[in-house]
Amino acid sequence: MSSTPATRPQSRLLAGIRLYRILLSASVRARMQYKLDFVASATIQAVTGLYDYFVIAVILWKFDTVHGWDIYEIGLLYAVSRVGWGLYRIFCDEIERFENYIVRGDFDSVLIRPWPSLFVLLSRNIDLTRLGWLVQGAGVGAVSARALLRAGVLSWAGVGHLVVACVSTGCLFLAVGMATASAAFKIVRIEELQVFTENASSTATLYPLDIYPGWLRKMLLWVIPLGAGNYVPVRHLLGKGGTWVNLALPPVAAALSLCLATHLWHLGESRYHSTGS
Amino acid sequence: MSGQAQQLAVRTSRLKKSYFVQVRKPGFLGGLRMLVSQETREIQAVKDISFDIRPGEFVGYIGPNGAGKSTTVKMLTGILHPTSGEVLVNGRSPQRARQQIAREIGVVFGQRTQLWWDLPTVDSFDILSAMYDVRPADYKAFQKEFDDLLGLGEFLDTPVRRLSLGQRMRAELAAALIHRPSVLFLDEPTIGLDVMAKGRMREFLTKINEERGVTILLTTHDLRDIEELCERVMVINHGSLVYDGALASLRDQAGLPTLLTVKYARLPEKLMPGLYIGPKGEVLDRPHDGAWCVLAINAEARTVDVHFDRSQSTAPAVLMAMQALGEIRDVSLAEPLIEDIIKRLLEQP
Repeated sequence: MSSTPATRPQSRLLAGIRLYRILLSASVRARMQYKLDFVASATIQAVTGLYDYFVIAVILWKFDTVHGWDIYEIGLLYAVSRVGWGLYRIFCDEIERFENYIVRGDFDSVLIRPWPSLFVLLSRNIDLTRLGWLVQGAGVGAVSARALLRAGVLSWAGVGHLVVACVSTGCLFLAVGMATASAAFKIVRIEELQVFTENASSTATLYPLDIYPGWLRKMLLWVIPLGAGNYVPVRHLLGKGGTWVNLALPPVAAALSLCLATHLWHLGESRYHSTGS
Repeated sequence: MSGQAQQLAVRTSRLKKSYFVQVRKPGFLGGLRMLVSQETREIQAVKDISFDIRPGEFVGYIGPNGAGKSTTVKMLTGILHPTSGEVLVNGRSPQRARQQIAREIGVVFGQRTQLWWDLPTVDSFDILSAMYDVRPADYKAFQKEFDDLLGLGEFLDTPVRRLSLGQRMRAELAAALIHRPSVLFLDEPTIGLDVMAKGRMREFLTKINEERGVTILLTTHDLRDIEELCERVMVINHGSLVYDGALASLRDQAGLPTLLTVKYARLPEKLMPGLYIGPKGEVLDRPHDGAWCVLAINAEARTVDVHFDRSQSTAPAVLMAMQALGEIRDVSLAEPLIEDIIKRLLEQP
């Protein structure tokens, strides 16, 4: 006499959304249990992030502009990058920490669930302390946008495009993060690789890509395409060149990158099925 | 329904799993040469395994470390893909239908948690019930039932990371059963638990197997688990099944002798290895009914090792017999090692 699973016919999408909602509220409740820790953690992250902006600000204070970009214009680049990064780290933190899953064999626990492994990972944890990045980025963005709106360089429609760019950048970070995590299936330890693909490249895109040699510019647009999320649209919004294509590029680049990254992930996963951990 | 062939819970057929590892090169430059070389060596974790498990069976799966137990279970749960051979769980391949099968099986890894570490225990249950689309009414029933059976109520609000091992294993078991799977895979679930916690877990497993018909495959190092829970046991060694049958026959073939070591104030002169001790303390030169074999004697330590079978005698009975031979200073008991059982099995014609 075998027991039957207690399931209900329900569309997968609805079930996924419901699951995600439950996880979100569980994460919030867990964090709120330690209010002081949450506030401290978020604040520290915000302050750490602002340090990068501080460096930029000092440089610009000394040199007025960098390749024709002033502090508010660079502030927009900064804001889109940081808000995108914050979105990625809030919702997809487990991908960032994927190395542990391979080292400790915890990926097995992901594979016994009735969902695709990516979904299980993405829904495992929602880290609200990363709001620090988001808030800090949005703050810099607000200050910069206000100045640029006043100066007539930026329009309100442009602000809408900036929001799209933020979300697209978040997706680009996810794609880069997923592709890097896929490497863990083969090489296990990916911490240094992450520093290169994520930290170094995102810091590089805080500055206008004009300042870099051609090969680096191409790399930040085509290989680790974080530049496609902030530099490309912001450049056009500020009247520095480009066309409406610049504004359409971020979501397109994000979608393509996510497809490629998902493909890499599945390759890695089938390798895991062959070789274990 | 009578007349209809029951689908097997698990079927494996000529299951094989090999890994390819780089050949180790010796010497100082060996590490560098390994980087460039493509030479690989095949390690056969599972060689050629076939077995069937019918619904409702409680099967023990034992073997020394590295024998291939975990590899087998990982192939049954869809984590690993076999190199060759076939695996079916409830009639479907875990490799091709991983997500569907995941709804029908429960898994507990003894040394790894599947719960959300920082959240209260109850949150893990909430999340899992959403993950497996468990109806609210069924979830409520689960909560009540398992609180009665496992006493979960006392630590539902405690974060998982603060639970004791015994509490955590109870929570893991419950979590694996929220969605009422028909097959349960347990990988060393009693490891590290104290005697009482083990007993409680064994009671629980017996209950769900007998009352709910959940098919259970239990991997363990503790032979007491097997003795108390399983009627059928499979023994794996170096990737091959060396035994698959009733526990009682295993005992007959290989014996499951417990080792009793007794330290005397003065060694009884009559005792020698190969002799037997009768129930009244008499020394015999051949095995009579109920006599126990003297395995070894250590003159310096003044100890005598005796083998006895738990299913036929009790430790106090053996002790009483040995007390008749002299004053006892110290006693220790050791359970049979799986390696010894396998050695005995392989010695069989």
